[in-house]
Amino acid sequence: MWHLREAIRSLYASKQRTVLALIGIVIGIGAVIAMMTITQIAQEQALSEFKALGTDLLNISSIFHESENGQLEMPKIKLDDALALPQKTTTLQRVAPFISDGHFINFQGAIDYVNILGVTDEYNYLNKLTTSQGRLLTPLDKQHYFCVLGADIAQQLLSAEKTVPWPFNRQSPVLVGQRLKIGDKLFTIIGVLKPGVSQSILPYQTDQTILIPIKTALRFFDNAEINNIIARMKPDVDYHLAIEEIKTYFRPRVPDLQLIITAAEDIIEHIEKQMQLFALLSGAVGSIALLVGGIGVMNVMLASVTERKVEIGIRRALGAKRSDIQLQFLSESILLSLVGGCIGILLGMAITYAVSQYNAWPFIVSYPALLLGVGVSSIVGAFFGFYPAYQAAQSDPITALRAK
Amino acid sequence: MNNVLFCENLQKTFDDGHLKVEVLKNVNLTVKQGERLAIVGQSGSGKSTLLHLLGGLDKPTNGTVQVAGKDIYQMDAAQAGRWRNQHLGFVYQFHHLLAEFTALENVSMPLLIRGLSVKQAQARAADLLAQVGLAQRMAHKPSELSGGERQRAAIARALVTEPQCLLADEPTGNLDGKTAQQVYETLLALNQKMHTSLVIVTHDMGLAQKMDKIVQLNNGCL
Repeated sequence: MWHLREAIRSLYASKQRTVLALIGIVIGIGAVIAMMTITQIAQEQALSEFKALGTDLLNISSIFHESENGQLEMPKIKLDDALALPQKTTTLQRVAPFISDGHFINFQGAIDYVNILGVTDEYNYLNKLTTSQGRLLTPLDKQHYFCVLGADIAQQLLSAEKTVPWPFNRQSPVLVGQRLKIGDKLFTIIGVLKPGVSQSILPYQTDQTILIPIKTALRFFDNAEINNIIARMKPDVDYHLAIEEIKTYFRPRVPDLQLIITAAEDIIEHIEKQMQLFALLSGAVGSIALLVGGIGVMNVMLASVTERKVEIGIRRALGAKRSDIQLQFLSESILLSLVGGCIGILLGMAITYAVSQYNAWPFIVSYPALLLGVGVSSIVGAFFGFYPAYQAAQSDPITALRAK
Repeated sequence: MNNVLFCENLQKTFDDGHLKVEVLKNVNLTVKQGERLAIVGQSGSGKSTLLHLLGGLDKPTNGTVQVAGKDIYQMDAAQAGRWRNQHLGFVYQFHHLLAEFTALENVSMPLLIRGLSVKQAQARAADLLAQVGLAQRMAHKPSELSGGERQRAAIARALVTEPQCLLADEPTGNLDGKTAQQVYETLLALNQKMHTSLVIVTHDMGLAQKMDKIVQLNNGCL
């Protein structure tokens, strides 16, 4: 215990040296903590969108393939075939086929090019869509020329509306009931989606699209075809099995159909792997900072040993064993690193807080990272303090006493 | 009287690869319990080397040194450290008190090394400091003490373990005449009170004459 008291005294007595040694460790541990925690927050943020919608979703996309005559073609999936998937397979419980196509829109003279999605009401359900104005599409809308705007599109239209000079602009922020031209057809806006719709497994940002009834889309789009289906699996189904079943289902119905089926679970695994890699890389960068900090501690401790040769000699003459001397210097380096580690943890958390605030992420305290910070700083202190402590312990008392 | 310190055929040669310097040549010495011995000689005659060898701090080229009946150079480093802590005390020309510790903490240190609790060590250290006249200066750091006070604190540190022998290397060499006299008186008083043998290296013949025995080291021989 008195080794610790003496270590505190010695470190306090050499404030400048102590502060210099602390800086390296503080930066090293701070970097490790910040990088680990930021990675964890970023990962949780990325996964939260998937988790919010459920990890049991599949995105089925048909793709072009080269036919025998060298032409690129995409065989058509019939709407009825797509809608029958839950009944004809054992692994799926709900499906939301949709059609996507880009079109020019015209709203009060302002023209833009927007992605239009022809969807069923299942699309709303699987994506947990809600509206800020009006209502969502329902099966009752059949083939009507109704549309629901993504939040970003609605925002664009509202700002476009303000640019139209009086008396032609309507000043009202209410878009529901107004008319919008998509291509050459007039659509009535029946709803506006709430912003922040999770992109999740979708290939589109729903906020930046306009939704119309799928049957309207089939009638309205040239060469309209079902090219995407979102499906929800039944509980506890292996997605590999579901993928296989979907392919088997479509094979006789749509010959030459090429499908890319992505599982949310698969994407989550991919994200987790990427994050692990990122964590590993950031850990490596942090470790380099820590290594530099550790070398700083070693340098300062070596300087301390040289400075305190006489003290070592006196202690040896008073009967201190080599192990006492070693323990004393080791206590100092571990204590130094621990204090540095604690300050580093605070620094790392402060950096994490700042980054979280900047990105509007939730701030979390990673307890494993804190434990790691304390543990690693102790190990750094012991590892990098060992050699100076060994040097001190090996000092010949006579040489040390003559060092005055 | 028992022999507290005994050396036989003690030789020390410094060898730097090119030049061999024979500092001590077959030195034989016996110090009995409570005895006061002065080692005098010219600078460079090997007085300090002899004292370090007697204290088990250096390694002789040849010969044996017995401290309290045991050959200190036959022990491993840890045993020698423990033996030194139990039976020997050291006082140097420079006080060598640790700057960041108070007088009380400095004097406690040998007892803490011995394994006593802080409370026990400080109680004993306070007693010794009072005996050397530093009862009011215990909480002071070396930088806050005068030269004579520092040296008296160093004596207290050397004697706190109640060693059988105190080895002092020019303990007053750094002090003015009056202070040196006071330090000597402290040493002699404690020698009489504690029956601790004194081996003092000095070139001050006036002070050496106050010892029971004077030996002169000349060209490495006594």
